[in-house]
Amino acid sequence: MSESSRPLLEVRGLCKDFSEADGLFRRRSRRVLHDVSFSVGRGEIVALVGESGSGKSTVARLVARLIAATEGEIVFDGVDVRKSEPRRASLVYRKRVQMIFQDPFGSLNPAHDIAYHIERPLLRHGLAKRGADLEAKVHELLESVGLSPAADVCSKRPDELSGGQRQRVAIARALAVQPELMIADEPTSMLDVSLRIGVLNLMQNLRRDHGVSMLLITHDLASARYLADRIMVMKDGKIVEQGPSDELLNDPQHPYTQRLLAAVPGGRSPGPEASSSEPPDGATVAGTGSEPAPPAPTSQPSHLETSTCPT
Amino acid sequence: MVEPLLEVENLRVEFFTPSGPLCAVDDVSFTIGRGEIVGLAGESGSGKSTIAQAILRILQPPAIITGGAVRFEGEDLLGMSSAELDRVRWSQLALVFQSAMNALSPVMRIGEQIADVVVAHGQGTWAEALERAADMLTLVGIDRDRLRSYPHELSGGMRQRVMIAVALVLKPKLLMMDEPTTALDVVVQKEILAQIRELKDELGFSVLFITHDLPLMLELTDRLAILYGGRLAEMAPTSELIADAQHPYTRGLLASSPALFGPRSELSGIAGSPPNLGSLPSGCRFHPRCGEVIDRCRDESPELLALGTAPRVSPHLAACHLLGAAS
Repeated sequence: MSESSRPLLEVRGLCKDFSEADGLFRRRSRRVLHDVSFSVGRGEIVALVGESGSGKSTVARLVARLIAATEGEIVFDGVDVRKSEPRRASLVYRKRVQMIFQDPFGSLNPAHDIAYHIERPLLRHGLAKRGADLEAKVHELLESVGLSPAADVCSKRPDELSGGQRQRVAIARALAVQPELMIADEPTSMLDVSLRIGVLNLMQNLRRDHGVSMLLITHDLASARYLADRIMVMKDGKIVEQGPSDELLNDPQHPYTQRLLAAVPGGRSPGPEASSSEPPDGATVAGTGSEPAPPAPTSQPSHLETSTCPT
Repeated sequence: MVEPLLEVENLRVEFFTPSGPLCAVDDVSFTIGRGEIVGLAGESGSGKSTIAQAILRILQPPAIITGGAVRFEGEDLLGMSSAELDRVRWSQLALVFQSAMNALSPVMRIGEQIADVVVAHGQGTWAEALERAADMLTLVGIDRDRLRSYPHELSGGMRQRVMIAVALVLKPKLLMMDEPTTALDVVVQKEILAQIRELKDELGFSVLFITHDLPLMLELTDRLAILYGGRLAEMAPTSELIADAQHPYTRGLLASSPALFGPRSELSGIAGSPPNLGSLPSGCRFHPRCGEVIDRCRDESPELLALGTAPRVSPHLAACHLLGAAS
């Protein structure tokens, strides 16, 4: 495969066991990810959607190498990152893959001003020299995420900013090292409604202007569709369905995806009439699991139901 | 006109902080009719939870109600002694808190926690109370065998149902719910909301539903109030609000939720950030973020006025200078 057609990130057969208490002294391991495989292309935004406990954040933390996988391969730009460095993630990987966390209140240090948060990665990765160069780079980054005038923002502490502004700081910090892949774990779920779209638009612009690929972890199908080219639906540690966003939403194959869609307020049907006539227990779609998929096009389908076992 | 179940009139709540008083709820008035589901929508700091706590009079200092009236079936709640309040609170008005994880005691079985409410209000013996607790669990869709479970043995959705059972066990006439499903997954959320609607039809209570989740509100409520910076920006029957939102903030909110289907379009959201109560803007509190701002907005706070001239039971109210300018 040539350099350009190769996906940026390829995850194959990823499994993760967590150890949990079993009685007072013994521990047992519980598998939370089962054979997860997917890829993220260059400049592509892929959303991983699922309910809490489905394992979506675990995938994010594995790819960011905050925790180690039990089995499987994480191939980034053609190199299996687990084999290349079995013990600790390298500075190089951290520069190419950055993560944005859900809680902008917890991810910034309340004791430091905003400038400090942006300066650190720049200095750590040797991307700027202390002095005027550093200050200019910090200002440029803050302006690029819509925090202006940057000079005012620099001297503020996190508690002086709104949630949306803090999340922008977190994005600027991730952007500081010019990453190729950004992993965003529920980046808007703790923000006020009126600020969410602003952050989603900012992420869209980063892809457009810098070609950053993104893995978006969310429970919100509507924002997944707004931002992502492709959506993957995760349940109980497995990816049960994936496909191009609109295709997946308009024609969900897996019963769990159907259930998820039916549960979104104002979701399934365009008119208020139809939505109220929906059965109240639309959540328990029974029997659809064994339904054969509609006649598939003869060419390879772009929209795959990756698991046939509805649980 | 039939007397409404709850009347909130010119309610004002201030937080007395070391750096001076902050007005969290400013001149808010609304009513809730019998059997009605009314929504209070707003962002963090808009005062929505403070209003619910003020109605139930469970605000803790430094928050103090400094003005207005709250009448429940014509009785003034704010003027009641604490003994009188004990009689009304929970038996007539109950509140479901946002986080069931924190609201339930981790060391008491859930059956005991429900029965405790019955006994505390002198409505029966412990044995009778446990029997009622079991009935309540069945009502909210939990097996009665779960009576002896501890909260940690239940899922988040089940704990939230237990909270609803605790709130409904004395058959209150008004159920207030403060972000009851925010911490839950959408599938569980849908089940619980369907259940609340079912229970409402069965038991005939009214609901004050508080959330920042506008799409959810639009599906659930009969009437909707939009709060901004402690004041009412707009209030109308929900269907009318969707079709004909008047306040620029309401329109901005409606345009902030991406759609699941249909053509993709870039949404603009609302510029700026929600106001800080410590430094509220002059005039209309929304004016620094408003795209349609006129000079008057900067100095003069708009009044909440009814649209149209014909008097209506539930009028469409909005607080915006543009409306006055147009007519």
